[in-house]
Amino acid sequence: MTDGIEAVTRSALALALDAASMRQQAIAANIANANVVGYVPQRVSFEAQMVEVQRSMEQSGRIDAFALAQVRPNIEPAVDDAGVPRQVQLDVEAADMARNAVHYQALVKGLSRHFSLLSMAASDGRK
Amino acid sequence: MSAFLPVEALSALSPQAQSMVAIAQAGSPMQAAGATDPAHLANAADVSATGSFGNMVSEGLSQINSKMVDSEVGLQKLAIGDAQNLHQLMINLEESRLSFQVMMQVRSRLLEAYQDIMKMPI
Amino acid sequence: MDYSRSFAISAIGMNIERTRVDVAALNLANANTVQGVGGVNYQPLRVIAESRAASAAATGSRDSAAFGALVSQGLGVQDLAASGAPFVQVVPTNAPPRLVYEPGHPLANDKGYVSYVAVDTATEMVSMMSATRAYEANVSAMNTTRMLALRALDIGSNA
Repeated sequence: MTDGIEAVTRSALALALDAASMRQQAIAANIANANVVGYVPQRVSFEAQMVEVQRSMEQSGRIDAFALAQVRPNIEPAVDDAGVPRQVQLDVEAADMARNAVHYQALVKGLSRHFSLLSMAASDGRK
Repeated sequence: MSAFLPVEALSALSPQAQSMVAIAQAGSPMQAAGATDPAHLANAADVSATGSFGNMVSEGLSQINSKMVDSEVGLQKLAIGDAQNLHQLMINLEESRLSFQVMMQVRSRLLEAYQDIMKMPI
Repeated sequence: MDYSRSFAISAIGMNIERTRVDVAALNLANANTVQGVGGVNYQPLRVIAESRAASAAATGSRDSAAFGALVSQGLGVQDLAASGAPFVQVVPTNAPPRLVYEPGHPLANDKGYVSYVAVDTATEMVSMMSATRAYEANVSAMNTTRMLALRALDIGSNA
């Protein structure tokens, strides 16, 4: 089970869950510090690292395990192209939090379905 | 799954169908125990089946396999952040789970049938 | 349904309505100020939100405030350019000041008129109320999107 498509799916989902919980922390910190002078908003750099993985997905139709192993989600300050830190915008943060919550629940649901399928196979069709 | 239901008359399993079933076993990336058993047991149980029954079994297996691989790829896309269609993904997951369950049921019935036949005193 | 895109759209809509409320509040705060002699008066501001097709024909120099850039800063969703979301800017109205005849006022001009800032209080209040309703509508849209996505996750889980 460590070599097939199931392992890649499982680790991709686990990584995405890590990123989603980290993102929730960053959003909560941004909302709490929305009116603090000189506060630099935080952001999680997950999607940016996924460019390589997305390319392998487009090429071969599934994720390459080596490209996935390079991805490490981490919290970083959110600056735009000129290096100037952005302002915290409450509406955008609230919408991001809602999207993150939906994404997290979708990932958890997907992961539990994935595991239930495997356990059904492993337990021979009987519970 | 209707390809599974009609049971052909028993006759010798042709070498072609045997090789096709062997290919389906070897080529399937699913390492789950259940996926390889039906083909193997069908092989053993229907020694006297026609070639087309082996065809049906291998086709059904590859269909289920491709459905499950599609579901896995959909889950990978969700993890990457490419969720185009959440409800379509959920539907695919449920469909693959149901077809897998049906296949397990078919395998169980085939097993029972085989055991019934083997219990018959000659 | 790509729920990321829906959330990003609602977020920008809420941002625009909040800008409207902020601008209305600023105008109201300066409603009764007087222009000093030879000084620069406060120009009441106005929020202009153009639909995207119209602004594409306008100058290209305002691309930094374009919707796609706003959203990709905010929620990391690329390529919302095709979704037709509005493009917003805050511009001063160049309305002439309101002249009130008060000959005893220290800042009256030689004809006895005092020039007040040209802010119509009623208009600002109305725009603030309509912006509030639009904001609530955007919030409702976002909540509905979230509910739809969560319901989609429940497909097939009653077994």
